[in-house]
Amino acid sequence: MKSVIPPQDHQLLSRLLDGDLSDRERDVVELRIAKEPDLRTAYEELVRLRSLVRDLPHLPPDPFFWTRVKAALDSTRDEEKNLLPFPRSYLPAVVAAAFIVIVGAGLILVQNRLSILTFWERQSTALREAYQQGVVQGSLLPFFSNLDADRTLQFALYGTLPLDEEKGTTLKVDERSSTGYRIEVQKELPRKIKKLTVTEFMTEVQPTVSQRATLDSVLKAAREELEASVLVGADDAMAINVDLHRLNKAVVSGLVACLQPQQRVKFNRLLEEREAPYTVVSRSKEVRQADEVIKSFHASPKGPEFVVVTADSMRLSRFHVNMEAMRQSMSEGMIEEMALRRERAIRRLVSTTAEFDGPVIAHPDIPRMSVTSRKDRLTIELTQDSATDGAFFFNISVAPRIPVEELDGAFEQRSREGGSIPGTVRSGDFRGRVYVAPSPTVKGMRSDTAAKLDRKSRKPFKLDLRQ
Amino acid sequence: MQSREAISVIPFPAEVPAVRRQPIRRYDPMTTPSKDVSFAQASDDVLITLFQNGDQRAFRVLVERYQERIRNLLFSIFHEPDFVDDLSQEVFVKVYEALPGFRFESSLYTWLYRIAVNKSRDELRRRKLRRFFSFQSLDDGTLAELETRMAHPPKDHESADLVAYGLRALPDHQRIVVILKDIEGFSYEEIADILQIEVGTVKSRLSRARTTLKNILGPIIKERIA
Repeated sequence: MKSVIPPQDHQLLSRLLDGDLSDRERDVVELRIAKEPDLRTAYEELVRLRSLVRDLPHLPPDPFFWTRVKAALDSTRDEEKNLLPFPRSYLPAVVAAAFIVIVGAGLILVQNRLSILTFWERQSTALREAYQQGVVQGSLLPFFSNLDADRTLQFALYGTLPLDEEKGTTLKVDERSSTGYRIEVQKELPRKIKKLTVTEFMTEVQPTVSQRATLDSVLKAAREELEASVLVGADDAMAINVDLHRLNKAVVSGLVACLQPQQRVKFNRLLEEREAPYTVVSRSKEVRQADEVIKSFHASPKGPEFVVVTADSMRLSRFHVNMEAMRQSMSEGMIEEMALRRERAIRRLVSTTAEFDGPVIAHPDIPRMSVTSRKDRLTIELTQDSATDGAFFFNISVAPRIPVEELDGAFEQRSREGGSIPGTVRSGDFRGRVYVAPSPTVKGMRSDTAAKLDRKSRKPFKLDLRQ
Repeated sequence: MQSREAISVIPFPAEVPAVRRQPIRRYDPMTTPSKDVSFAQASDDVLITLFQNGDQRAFRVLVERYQERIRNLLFSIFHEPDFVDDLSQEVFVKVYEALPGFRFESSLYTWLYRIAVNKSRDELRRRKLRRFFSFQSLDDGTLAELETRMAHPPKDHESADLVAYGLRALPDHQRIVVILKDIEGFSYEEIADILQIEVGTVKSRLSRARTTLKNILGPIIKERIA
């Protein structure tokens, strides 16, 4: 049945039905309904329609509705509990923090995109140039594959590292205040190998649990640095980081920096007992964290500089080595390759009869560097001004001990009262193994040494013992 | 200092009276029936305020107060009793989540209906989408069935079914207005508040809906008038 009355009239009838018309409007519409049969029929149909709709059946009440709502609420709560690892009220803060971090990181990347791109370009350029110049050919591999914490500590304390114990070859970093530094690859092992294991070190200093973790981190970083400092190329070229001489002292002072003052005294005593060539003088009691110490291992912000030596050439080159990538790419076959290369390089470099005093390379930090190859050893000698000695980290001085035989001569004693007294010391005045630091003020001399000095020389002076 | 005897001699009663252990009554606001007269008589605003201050019992009272109206509203829209129960639960879960942020800008009554209508619209939209992808048209099917059934005068018990079918044949926005006005008895202003539309739109939409429904259910209406 299609309605024939216009929509406006329908809306009026609809509003009349709902009581929405004003009195005047209602009178007008009711009058029209009385006069117009179509309108009347339409209105009666609307009334009937409303009645039919109102009479539609209802659902019976559900007595268990609340139980089901509660179950649904519990289930929702459980889901929420399991999803978030933090209280839900923290969600906006966590989202905001994550957003800030992501945007911040993005901004930093965008702002530094040029320097990042330049950095990577430099890396690749440096390595490419090194290869193109024939400095190193083929892939680079670390020279040492057998490093552990004990060997790292041994290198730090004594400057020696066995390259190949069976073949009797050793890497030795020697320091003399008069001549500078010497990195030697020598064929013969030292007569007496001095050792100090990590266990002995820990037993002596008795670190706390957190200190032990810090010391382990420092030794691990030192091992990685050492691995990255001596490399061997496919053409039997050997690349040695010229800062290698600095590394051992950095490690020693780093280890000391992680210790408490009492532990430092014990460690120094242990160094003396084990005839370590260094003595340690602390001028600060501050205990450092591992990350600070590890930062000190990297000498130059520009990156490491290597002396690249082949049987008949020597060059200085700067290139970055990504040890992490190198380690990841090393397979079992590569370890065998490393061993072969190491053996070949040692054989060729050390057994060559050619002797040359390498060219002096102009370098702002290294006034003179020479590479000498003799029958049994390859020596890289770096002559440096002792004043620029960089072995001073965290106010901790790691100075070579000087045998008492070399102590003859005059030096100055600093008294506790602040003055200084000139004195003369002869080696004959001492008994046993006595070492003092090369400093003219004899800092670092131990108290029992001072007592002996007093007794023998019969001179009334006091030493400044700030250790 | 206590003597040794004072410590060791403790008289033990010959007969220990049997003590009936009282069950420990644990109070859980979400499971304990809301028999509290003051709660049952409290106004919506009071109950909302209590709930917002952490009293979970108030929510149960509100659910019990409105559950049948919401269930019947949804039943008028869908005519599927089982589905209506599920959807009603969802409505009250939504209310539970949103109630802490209720700002008393409208009455709880219209706010509740708004949530229920919005849930219904979401569901109707989902169904339309499903029908679109399954190449079916429920409206066409409903109309065809109605035309077949209208060919013969319906019996009394069939009238309600036919009216329900007629309602289902209406477009969703018209059907909801008719239900809110003629079944739920809301005023134009309240419907406008629930649907968030103008009052004039409510009037015109309702008029169109009634005309359409009258055309669909013509034979029944005519017969009843006769």
